[in-house]
Amino acid sequence: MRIEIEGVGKRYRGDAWALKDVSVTLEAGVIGLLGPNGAGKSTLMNILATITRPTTGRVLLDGVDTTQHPDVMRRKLGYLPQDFGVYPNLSAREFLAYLAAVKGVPARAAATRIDELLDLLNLSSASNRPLSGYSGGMRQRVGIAQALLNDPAVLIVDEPTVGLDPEERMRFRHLIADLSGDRIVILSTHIVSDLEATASRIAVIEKGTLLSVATPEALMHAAEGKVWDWTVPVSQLADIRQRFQIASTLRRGDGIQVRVLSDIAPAPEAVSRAPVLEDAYLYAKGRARLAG
Amino acid sequence: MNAVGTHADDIRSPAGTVGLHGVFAAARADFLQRVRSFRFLVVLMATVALGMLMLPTQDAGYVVLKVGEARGIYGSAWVGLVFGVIAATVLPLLGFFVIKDALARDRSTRVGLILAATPLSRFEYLGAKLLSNLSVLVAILAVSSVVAFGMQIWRAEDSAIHPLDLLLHLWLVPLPVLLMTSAVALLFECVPGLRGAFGNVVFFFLWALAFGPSMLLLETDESRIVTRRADFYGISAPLADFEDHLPPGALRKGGLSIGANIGGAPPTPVRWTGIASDGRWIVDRALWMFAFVPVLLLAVPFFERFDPARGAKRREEREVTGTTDEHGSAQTPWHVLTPLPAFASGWRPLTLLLAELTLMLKRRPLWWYGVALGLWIAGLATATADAVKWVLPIAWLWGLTTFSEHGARAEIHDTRTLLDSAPSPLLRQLPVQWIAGALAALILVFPLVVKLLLIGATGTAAQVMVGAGFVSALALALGSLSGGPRLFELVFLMLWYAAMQDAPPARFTGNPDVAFAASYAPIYLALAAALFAAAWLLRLGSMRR
Repeated sequence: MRIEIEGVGKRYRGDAWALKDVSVTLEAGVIGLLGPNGAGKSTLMNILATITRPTTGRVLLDGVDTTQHPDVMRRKLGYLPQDFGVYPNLSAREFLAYLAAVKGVPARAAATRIDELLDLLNLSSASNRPLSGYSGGMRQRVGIAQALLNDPAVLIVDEPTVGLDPEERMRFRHLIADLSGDRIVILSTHIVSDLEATASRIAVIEKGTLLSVATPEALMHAAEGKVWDWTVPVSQLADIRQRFQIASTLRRGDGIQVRVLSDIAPAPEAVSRAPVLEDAYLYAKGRARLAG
Repeated sequence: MNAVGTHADDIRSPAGTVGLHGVFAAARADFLQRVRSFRFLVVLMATVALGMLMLPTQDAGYVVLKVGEARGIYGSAWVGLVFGVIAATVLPLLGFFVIKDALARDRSTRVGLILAATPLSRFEYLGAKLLSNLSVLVAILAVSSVVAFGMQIWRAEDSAIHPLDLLLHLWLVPLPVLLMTSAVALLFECVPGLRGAFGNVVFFFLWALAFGPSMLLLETDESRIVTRRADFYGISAPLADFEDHLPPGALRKGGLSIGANIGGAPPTPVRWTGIASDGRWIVDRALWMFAFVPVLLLAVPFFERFDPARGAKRREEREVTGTTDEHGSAQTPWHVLTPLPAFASGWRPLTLLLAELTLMLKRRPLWWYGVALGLWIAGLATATADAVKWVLPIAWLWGLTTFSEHGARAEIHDTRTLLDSAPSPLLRQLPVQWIAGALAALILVFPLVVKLLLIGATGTAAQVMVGAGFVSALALALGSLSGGPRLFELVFLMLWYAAMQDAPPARFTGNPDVAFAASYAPIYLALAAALFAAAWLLRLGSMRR
């Protein structure tokens, strides 16, 4: 199974392009869509989920244009939007049963599935309480459960870890890793650590443009020798921010330790470090900005 | 320190208030947010369209304001009075449904939480919302004024334009009523039980009841309109003055007619220069403008300042506290989940229908089921014809919140993306939703329908079924059009009220006195089909955007 995104663009009113000429082919595995808020990730997700129609280009699922034949995608799709609501008077079990019916899952199979998903997402003991009483994290888990109701071959999850606490977030990453295999899992996030353990490929997107698509290893390889730790006096920090791309800062007793992304050492005393995925992502963004 | 909540007033600035500047700034922002919308543009377009119907020609077959057998020549004073009277009587109802979302918007956007953490006091906040509510209604009135001038010139019965005469009559009559409407809308938003559809129903009946006594006061004296200072609507003085221009006893012959009076002989145009120089009337109207103050003050203690620990949210908060967020329990690894059958995306209308009915009828308060049960029993215990005429409409009024939410549920609860990412959302979901709505309406009167079938009144039973289908289609169409429940609630209430006033064309609930073909059921059947098609097209349009 493969999804081919061919020159997809989306223009909103006022000639504002949320997405421009995005082309990429997706195959089984987890592809992470990484970019800052407002980069166009959710627009691309909505287009893939057949909620939004692209202004230009097309999306093919196994060669079938999903804009023309959206049900081809919808029959195989599990979708967790970034923002979604629930029916507050229903329990999690009733809400999932309703969505299973909407998705066309047979009632008996749905009942078993819902039980298992509630267990998987640690919602069993609260499953008969009204959703109005759920915390944000619990609602998000209900959202994840509904996306998995129909055992989707294509799973699209948009900012899935928003509202989850660190433990839930870790559990979700394990679930995503468990789910991949012969499925296509598209995971959009602006949190790099969400992808470190799961993504087989990472697409970096900014201002509606796809900057790069690469494996995490390739991204990190590109940043090798470009990451430097440099301890500077606090008074110099503003100037350094102007001159270099900064990945992070850490306050220390003798000043501020700055993690600089630079092709050459920013100062003789700066120490070269092995890149992590966040460095690689920021470096890729910075390089694309310079090229642009 | 509590930033928000019962002690939020403690963190105000030393002066204790944000002052008029803060109130005006909050009112302005709220007003701009409201008017910069397509919905408001539609309201203004409807205002223009209705305004063009206010001054019919002599051969139009209807008249909007008539005293006895006469109306005023379309001079500035009469034109202003016609627009003013209609604005005072009709705009409060329509306007209430337009403006009753000032606090709800701040709740849903969570701007309210930000405002609650500022020194803006409860009174100042509500004052700002009152100004915003009033500004919306005044904007409608302003557009009406422009249309009034235009219509006077167009009709050309009296080409002399007297702006003061037109504007004084057009604004002084409705302004106190619109101020009161703005305050009542706020009060209803503050009182937990009146925030939703129940409050809309209460307001509808308040509106219907409030104008009735005023009309009675007008006609208490059999032959003369009596000028009364107690006339909140402010129409007795100008109409009494107009009556002075008519022959004695004119009112007794033709009565007083406000609103579209269809048929009958064309009224005689009479020249009238208005009462813009009547200082007493102007002072009375100015004094009535303060009538809203007690209502606004009454709203203040009910306003919970967006504190989630108070008011309607308290129950919800308890539930959150009581719900243990589980951690550490045994998890089911994904690979042991039972595989789904290969055909797991087929259309299962019965399963979906049951799910839709569950959504509509389950988890309502016990007293709701209690009243519904009472109406079941009343439907059986009352004579069949009376049950169809009275019990059935009341049962459907009881189901109003069910129907109105059904029409716009996905928009109200923000589940549209979840539903539209399922296979064939339109083809599979909308017909089932329509049937579910109709079935819910029939369930509310189930014993009565069974009784009708058992006694062989199949024609009446068929009329009731058509009515149920019509209500469901109306809810879906208006819910899709407006993205919320209130447009349906307004239209349903107006239709329901007309039906209860025994206006035969409005009897969508069925008429036991006539056969199916002789009733209005065939028309409502066609209307139901048209509304369903409209809902389909509206949803299709929104999916294609």
